[in-house]
Amino acid sequence: MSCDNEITILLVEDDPGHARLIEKNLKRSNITNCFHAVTDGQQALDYLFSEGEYAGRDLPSPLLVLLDLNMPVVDGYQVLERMKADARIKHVPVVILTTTDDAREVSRCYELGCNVYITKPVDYEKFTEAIRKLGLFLSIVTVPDGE
Amino acid sequence: MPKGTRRKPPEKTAGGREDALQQLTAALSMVADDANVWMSILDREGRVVLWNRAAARISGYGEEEIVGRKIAWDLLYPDASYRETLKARTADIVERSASLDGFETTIRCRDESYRIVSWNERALTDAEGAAIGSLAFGFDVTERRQAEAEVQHRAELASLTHKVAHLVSSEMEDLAKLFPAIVESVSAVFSGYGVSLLLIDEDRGALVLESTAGRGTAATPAGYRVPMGMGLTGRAATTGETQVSGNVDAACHYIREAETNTRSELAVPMRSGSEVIGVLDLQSSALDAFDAVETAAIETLCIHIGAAISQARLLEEATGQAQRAAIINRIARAVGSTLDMGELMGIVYEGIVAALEAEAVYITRLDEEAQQLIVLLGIEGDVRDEGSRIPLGAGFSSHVVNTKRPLRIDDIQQQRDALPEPVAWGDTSRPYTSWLGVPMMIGDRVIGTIATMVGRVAAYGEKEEQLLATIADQVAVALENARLFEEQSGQAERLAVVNRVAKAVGSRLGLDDLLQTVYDEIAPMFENEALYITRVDEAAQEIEFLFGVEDGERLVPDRVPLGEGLTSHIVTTGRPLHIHHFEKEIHDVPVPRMWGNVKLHDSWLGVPMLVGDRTVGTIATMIDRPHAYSDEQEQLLCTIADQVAVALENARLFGEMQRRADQMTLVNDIGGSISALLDLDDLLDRAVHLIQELFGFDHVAYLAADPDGESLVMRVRVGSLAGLLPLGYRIPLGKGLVGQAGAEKKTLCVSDVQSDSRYVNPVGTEVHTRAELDVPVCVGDRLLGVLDIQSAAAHAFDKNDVMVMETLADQLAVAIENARLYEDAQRELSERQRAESALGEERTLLRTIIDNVPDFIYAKDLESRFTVANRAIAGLVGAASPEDLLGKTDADYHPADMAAGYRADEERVLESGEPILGREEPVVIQVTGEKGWLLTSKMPLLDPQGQVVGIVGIGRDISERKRNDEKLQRYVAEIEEANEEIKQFAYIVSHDLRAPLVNLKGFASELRGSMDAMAPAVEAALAQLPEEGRSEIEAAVREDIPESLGFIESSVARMDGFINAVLKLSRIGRRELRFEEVDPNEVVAGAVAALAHQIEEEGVEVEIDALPTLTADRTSVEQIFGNLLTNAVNYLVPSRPGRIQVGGRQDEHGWTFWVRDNGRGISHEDADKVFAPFRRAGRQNVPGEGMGLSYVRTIVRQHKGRIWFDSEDGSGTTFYFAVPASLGQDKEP
Repeated sequence: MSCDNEITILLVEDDPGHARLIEKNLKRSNITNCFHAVTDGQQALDYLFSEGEYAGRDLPSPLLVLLDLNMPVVDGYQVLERMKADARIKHVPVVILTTTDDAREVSRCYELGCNVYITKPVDYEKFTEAIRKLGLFLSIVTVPDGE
Repeated sequence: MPKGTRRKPPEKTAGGREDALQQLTAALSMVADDANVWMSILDREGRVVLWNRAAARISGYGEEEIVGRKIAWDLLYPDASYRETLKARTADIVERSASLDGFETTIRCRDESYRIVSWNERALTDAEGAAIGSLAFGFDVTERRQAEAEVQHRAELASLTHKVAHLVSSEMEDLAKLFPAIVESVSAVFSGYGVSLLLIDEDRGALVLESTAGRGTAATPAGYRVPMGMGLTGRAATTGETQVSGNVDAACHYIREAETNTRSELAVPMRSGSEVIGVLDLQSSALDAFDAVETAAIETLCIHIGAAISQARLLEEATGQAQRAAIINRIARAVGSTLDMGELMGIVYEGIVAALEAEAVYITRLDEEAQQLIVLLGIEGDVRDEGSRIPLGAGFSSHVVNTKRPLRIDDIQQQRDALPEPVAWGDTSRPYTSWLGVPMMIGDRVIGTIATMVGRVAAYGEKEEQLLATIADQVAVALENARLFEEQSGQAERLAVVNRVAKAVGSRLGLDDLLQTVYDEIAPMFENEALYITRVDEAAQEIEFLFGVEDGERLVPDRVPLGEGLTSHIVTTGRPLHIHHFEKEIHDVPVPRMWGNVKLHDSWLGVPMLVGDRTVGTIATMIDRPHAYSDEQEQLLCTIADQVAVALENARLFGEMQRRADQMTLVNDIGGSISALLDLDDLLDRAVHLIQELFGFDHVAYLAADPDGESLVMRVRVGSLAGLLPLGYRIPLGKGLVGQAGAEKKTLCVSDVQSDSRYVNPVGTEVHTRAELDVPVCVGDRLLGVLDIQSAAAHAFDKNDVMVMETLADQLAVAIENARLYEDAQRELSERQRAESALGEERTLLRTIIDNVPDFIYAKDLESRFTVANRAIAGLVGAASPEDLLGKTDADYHPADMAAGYRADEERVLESGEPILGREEPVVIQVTGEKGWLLTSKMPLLDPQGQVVGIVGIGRDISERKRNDEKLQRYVAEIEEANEEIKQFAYIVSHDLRAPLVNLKGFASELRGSMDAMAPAVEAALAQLPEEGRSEIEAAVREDIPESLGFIESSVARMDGFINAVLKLSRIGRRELRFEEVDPNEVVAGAVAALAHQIEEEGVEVEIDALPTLTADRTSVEQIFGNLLTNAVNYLVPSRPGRIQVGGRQDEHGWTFWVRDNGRGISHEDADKVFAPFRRAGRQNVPGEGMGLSYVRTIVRQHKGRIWFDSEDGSGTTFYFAVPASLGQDKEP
């Protein structure tokens, strides 16, 4: 995969359908960044902390995380919490992308340090629109360097 | 529970129980007395180990000065022998494990007062059973014992008066026995007192101690004299008023005679009639020892004793007089029967010695010619003198001869200067002090003297003088007889007459016989045609014609007033009257009075009968012949008259004595029989009847003084007037004789009421009353009533009757007072018994209630030891009976930590005086070992002074309720958990369901996008396809695929709708409510406005009542009304004009609102579905998800409210919802 933008996007999404739809729509929004998808929280943590199957690999930088909340094993909150608790990666921007639009969960995520919270609408046109706006956001966002 | 909540009126709890509890609590405070139990523990050496506050309070000795020391015995029991006895008992308990129950001792307290304590004592043993000490519980029974002693004392007082009354009636003949008996009786009742009885001596100069008994009286011997007016005793005697002093050192009249420890004294005068005759004196070493009741009792006693003394004296006197009469009689007999001078003198001498206790007696005869006194008999000790001659001149006897009057000397030495010169004769070395001499007279001629003397001061009085005079008269007759016999032997016949008369006088006491004898002897000698013998009634001032004969006929006895007339003349002059020829002397003699059909005789001879110089009667003889009687005959008649006089006087004296003795016996009988009666009515009835029967009065009545103090009321009457005077008949004090006697408290004796202006005829008709005697019945100064005695005969009552009736009135007063005292004592006793039994019943009732209440009730002392416990608490701690708990503490029954907790609570109550109410605390039920809970209230127990002396506790077993509460809590938690799970579930489900929907929708769209991208190519390809089979593919591409995609998309949309609805419902359930004042009028107006378009279009009429403002979450209220109104509008029926009514009301529980429509209604079958989610009833012609009422119900439930409806299919529905008022106040979500 060629990457136009130097920012690597880590997509954490347990539903492969969702992951596919997000990727597709981001591409349609001309987001051409390096894209890495994992299917659960544990994998995301391994990736972020260079552990498990990612052991020994350097973490790409700059990096942005698209994070689903409801996942088996390790959920999004835990990932977010771990990230924000670690000095090395706490500056990595996190965009929550989830089906939940419950106000309490939204505020909880912001409290834990997420940067943007986006609800995945069931209506596909709205979904497309939301991802497109995310793409716009990603295209203009400046992500701090890892060091 | 917050403090104080329980104090509110218990409207929410079961009212009856609560009341019973409160009553019990109040009632328990009465048991406080019993809670004051002395507890002390002594070790084997007698050292005090434990000394509780009750012990300290009762004894006055604090714990700090007693505990650890051995001084308790010495302090409490200062008397060594008493202390050793008690110590031995305690040693017995310790050594032999004996026990003591209800053993009472008297302890001396710190303030030197004495208290009586009832002990229960037990041995204390160690684990091996070896004695280590003793435990004593003491109950202060001082007040109880004092009250009992008081009652006992009152009863003793009542029985004392009774006993003394009895003594008085049984011992009255012997004062020497009576006084000690009285004093001993009084002393027995007033133990610890000194009792003395003193009598006033004859010259009323001093009180003489007659008898004593009791404390500190040994020092003063009988005969000890207290001057009148000196000290309290002397003062009582002088003033006649009771003297009482509670503190003699402060009394100005008290004189401390010797080193006595007298502090209180009571001196009560005793009276005989109105005269004070002595004092009964009581002394005590205590201050204020005499109260009013005791004083009154002693006063009553004194009335009794006074009456007894006067009676006894009367009896003594009567007996003495009777003795004297007998002596005179004996002498008279001797005079009449013997002419031997020597023998006669011997008899006279013996009589005089017996009657006058003479130590020396001289009888002399006057020799007028020689002017000498010849000693006929002189006896002085062993010396006998006969025949000595003493020249007349100086000396006592000469003085008697010269003056013809008796001479009485009380004290020769003292009176020497005022006396004639004594003449020494015989053995005059003897120091005679009293001397009494009388002349012997014949007519007015002195023929000799009799003198008697004794070595004692004032030995002779009026009575002795009279007696000696009477004897002298007798002897004179004898001497004269002898003289006449010697000198005039020719007059032998006359002498014989005189002798016979004398003999008759001496041998006959029947007056009538005597007079007949006299007549028989005189008549032949005087040849008379008429003879009269009269007697003088000095009291009546009348002459009583005792015997009269005229021409051989006896005349009927009669009385005439003393005045003019021949007989009266003799009486008045005391000299003979001799008329020789009436017609000639008619102007020189008094005017004669007629008796019977007496005619005037020519000769009339009357002589006086003389006793001493007193004329007691006359004898007159007469004949129709002038100068019929000679001087000798006159002298003879005089001699005979003297004889008869003696006989008359003897008869009078004897009769009087006899009568008096009889009366005294009667008085005594009456006194004895009434003093035994304690019922007042019986007593009065008996007394009045006895008086009437025994004395034979015509009318006897007792009128009681009315309590109004203004009148007398007829209580009892008997006799001739009984029918005329009804019971209850009133006489004002001061009116009539009875009223006057009552008002003045003085006896009235009227000889003839018809000549007395004070007399008032009470009935108006003629009554026969002539004489009346009214005697007041008094106790001290207090009038009880009047004894009214009437007689149909004038002069019916003499001095003696008055005295007897006064004595009886005194007796009656005593008996009445006795009866009253007895009634008082009885009443007091029965009242006290009633009070005690009422108290006992109350205690039993209380105990029964306490024991049968299922709650635990107990009281504890300051050390948290049980003083009261009921059966319930005994059951709780596993004790066999409530008594087992007494003296124990919670630590004896409960685990240490719990007991400590209880004790801590109790200490707080004891210190602060504030109760602990409704405390829930854990407990272990000792019998089963189960853990449980108590609802406990502990209140301070106050003594009458308001001092906290313990606590009262009430506990209730609430284990069951506690267990139910816990169960309920658990259920609620479980339900809440389940509820939470459901909420969580709904939330999670709705989210997780969404994720696949995103894919379904997304990839369907992708598919449609792919189809659109392929469309030109497919169109081209389709055209290339062979005809056969093309239409099938064409249908698939153009219709089937888009149709499938369409179904997928619409299903996803519906699914999304459901999910959103569920999500919304679950969110509503979790939304935080903000309570505020909400005006539902505004809310409803807003909702109606939102529906305005539809309402207007369908012509719906909306009526909104004035709705009460409520406290609720504003949004919720908006949603409720919004939904209900929308429903109402939506489900109207087109066939009739729509009508919607909104209403609401407020009550104490909260608010209820309703929305009423006349729409299509809800069928019975649909009723269940109305509030269920996704359910819609009836025809589905209205858009919606069927969630509205589910939301509303959830919202209402969040407000702890309720929603329901009334409906009739086809005619409309009313939805109600109610919201409680307490919402928003306590912040329970």
